[in-house]
Amino acid sequence: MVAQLLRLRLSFASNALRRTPAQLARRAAAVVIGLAVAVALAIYMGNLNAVGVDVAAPILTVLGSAVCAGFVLTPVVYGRPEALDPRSFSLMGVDAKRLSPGLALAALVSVPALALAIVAFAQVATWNRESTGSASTTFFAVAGALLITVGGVLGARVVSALVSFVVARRRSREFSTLAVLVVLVAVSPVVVAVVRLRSTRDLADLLTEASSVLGWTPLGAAWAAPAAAAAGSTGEAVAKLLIALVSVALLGAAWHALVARMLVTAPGTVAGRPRHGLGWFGRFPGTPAWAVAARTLSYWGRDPRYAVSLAIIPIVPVVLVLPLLFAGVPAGILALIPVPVAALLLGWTLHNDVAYDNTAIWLHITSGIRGAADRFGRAIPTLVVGIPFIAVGALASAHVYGDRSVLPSLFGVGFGILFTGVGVSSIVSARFPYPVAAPGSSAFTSPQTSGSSSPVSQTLSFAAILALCGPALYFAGRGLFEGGDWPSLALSTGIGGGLFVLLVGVFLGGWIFERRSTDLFAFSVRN
Amino acid sequence: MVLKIEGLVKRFGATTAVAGIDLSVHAGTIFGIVGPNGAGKTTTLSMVTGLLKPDDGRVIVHGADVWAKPAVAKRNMGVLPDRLRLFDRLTGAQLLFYSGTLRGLSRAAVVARTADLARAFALDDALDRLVSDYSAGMTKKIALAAAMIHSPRLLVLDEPFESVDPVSSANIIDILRRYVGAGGTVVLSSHSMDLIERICDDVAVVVNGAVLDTGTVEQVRQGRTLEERFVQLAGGANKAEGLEWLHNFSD
Repeated sequence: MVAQLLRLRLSFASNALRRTPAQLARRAAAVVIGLAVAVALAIYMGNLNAVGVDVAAPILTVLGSAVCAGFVLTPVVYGRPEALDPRSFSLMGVDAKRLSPGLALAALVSVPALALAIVAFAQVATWNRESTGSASTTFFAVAGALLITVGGVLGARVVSALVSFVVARRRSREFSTLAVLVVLVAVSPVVVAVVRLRSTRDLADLLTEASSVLGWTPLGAAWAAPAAAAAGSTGEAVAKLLIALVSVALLGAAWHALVARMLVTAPGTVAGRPRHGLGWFGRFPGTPAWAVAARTLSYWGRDPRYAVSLAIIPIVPVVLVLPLLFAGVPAGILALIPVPVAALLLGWTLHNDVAYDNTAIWLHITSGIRGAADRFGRAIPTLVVGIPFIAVGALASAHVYGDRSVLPSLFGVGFGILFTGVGVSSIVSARFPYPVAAPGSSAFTSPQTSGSSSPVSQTLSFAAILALCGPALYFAGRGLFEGGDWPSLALSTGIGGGLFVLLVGVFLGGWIFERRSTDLFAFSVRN
Repeated sequence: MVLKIEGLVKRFGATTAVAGIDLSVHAGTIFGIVGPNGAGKTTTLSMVTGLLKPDDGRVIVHGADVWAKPAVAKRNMGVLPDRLRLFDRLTGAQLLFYSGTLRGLSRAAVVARTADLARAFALDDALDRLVSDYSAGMTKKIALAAAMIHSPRLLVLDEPFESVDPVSSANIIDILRRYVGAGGTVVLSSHSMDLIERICDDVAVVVNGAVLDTGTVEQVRQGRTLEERFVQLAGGANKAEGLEWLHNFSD
């Protein structure tokens, strides 16, 4: 079994050579670059042989942990099933007990695994020094390197199997790109922390601190074990090696369980679970506008195109605020940013809502639904989600800011932007729709089109919302510096003006929707 | 007279898709529109249902002009378009509820009719699944059920039997016959002559955007099968000439 799988793996590799020269060149370049990076890293690590243990140990642990994390998480970004997917063996009646070790071994025979091994075994060179008890240190280095290689390969296969389970569900095909976004947000403090380092002394402290944590985690244990041995603490080295060993054993067990599971799961048939009752339709009043609202809310949960644009809304304020925070802007001032930004994005996201329906819009047109009901129905979910979100957000912001007198301004600006955004979007989406990814395709693809008006309509709606909220923003700004009556003025202009724009948007947008229904339908068929 | 079409014209740039069509459809009948691909069937039906604005002509549904009084005219129509998306990330039950509620039905009425329609179309088991997981035939059936849920006077069905299996199609025909028996009216398009001949009372043969012949099925087919008559009307002289080389097989 194992021999057969290995032979299969090798014939995949040799078949990979039977490509057009261009493909072959690209592939060869990827392999060469990958190995070159690995060798360069290995040489760097080997050269740490020359520096003291207290310098080399933290560097190796942190670097090694980063390499392992990167190796294991690559499939998340890659998001593609591997060549030896366990599921392809499901029709062959192979026992999972024999298949899972075979597949794991076969995965070791690959260029990425080779690259990982090169880097992992470099630590043998790092710790090959005369000063300390070299025999035991070398043992820990070799054992650690083996565990790193096996654990890395197993970890990558486990992660890719898990990803394929998630991806198999239609709604989560956007998972990997979202994961990247989340990782970027999570990593940004690290980047900022590194950028803010004033001296090499700081860097050393940072590395030591990081390695003292990472060395006890599965990611860094196998790197930290020989370092501990080199420093003379054999007990710590044994403990860390045990952590690495147990982690690899757990990964092996997880891989085995996943293979057994995947053998009985045909690709792409994760069954849609039955949903009982009417969902949102049962919870809302039975009028056309509320039916549209229920449909929109159902789609938010089921259509990744909406999920992606909604998931970005809480991320943007964080991305905006974090660097400023690390750059030294006081947290109090920054606390005022997220609520208006999130309100702006929430309202603005609605500005191309009709285009997301694609040709299904025929139902709205042939049913003769009143335009205003259509507009209002589409606005309801945004308002239902946005109003409590802004209320809570404004309270939290005022708390962090440390002065409750800012609260009326926050409410005025937040609600004002939300209402105005929804009103403007109601008009823009009926008048200037632009093509979006079709239902079922990735939310991150942008459709091929001729004569698109997307930048126009995006910028137009954005600018219109900000301009219409100008007075409230101005009053809130003066309130911030001068206090007095300005905050309450911001509150009344924000909410009053916002509600007015919302009403005008719904009715004017509805009128446009009815007048231009055939144009909207023709647009949906064209795209 | 439930549907009256007068001098309907639609041009797309230089091409004329529909070149002056006149049709009358009587209440309580099934009216079939047959024609080759690209004859203008879908274009005509889209102008009837209010999806496409005609360049000229009028469409009257139960006395109301579709383009002058759209609200009244649309209330009397149930529509099944061809090759357009449904809101298919709703479950079957939700799609029926949505269609009914958009038409202004009360919650109680929609729920009761959903149960009835599901039974009639044999969709009971599928109501709680997403429409996007349905087979092609089931999708047609749920769309047809959604078109009927507000009990319209006129059903406009574009290719209702496309990719529907024989059992489902017999089921659909049965439901349409009962609907017509109760006074409803059906206009449908198809290129299955057999089917049209079997189930329609009146037919219109549409070729190149014009009506070549219309009347009862008996009148139109003139003693032959509808298919023979249709091929003759649609220019059956287009025999397979110029393919003589096909008779000499290469070794």
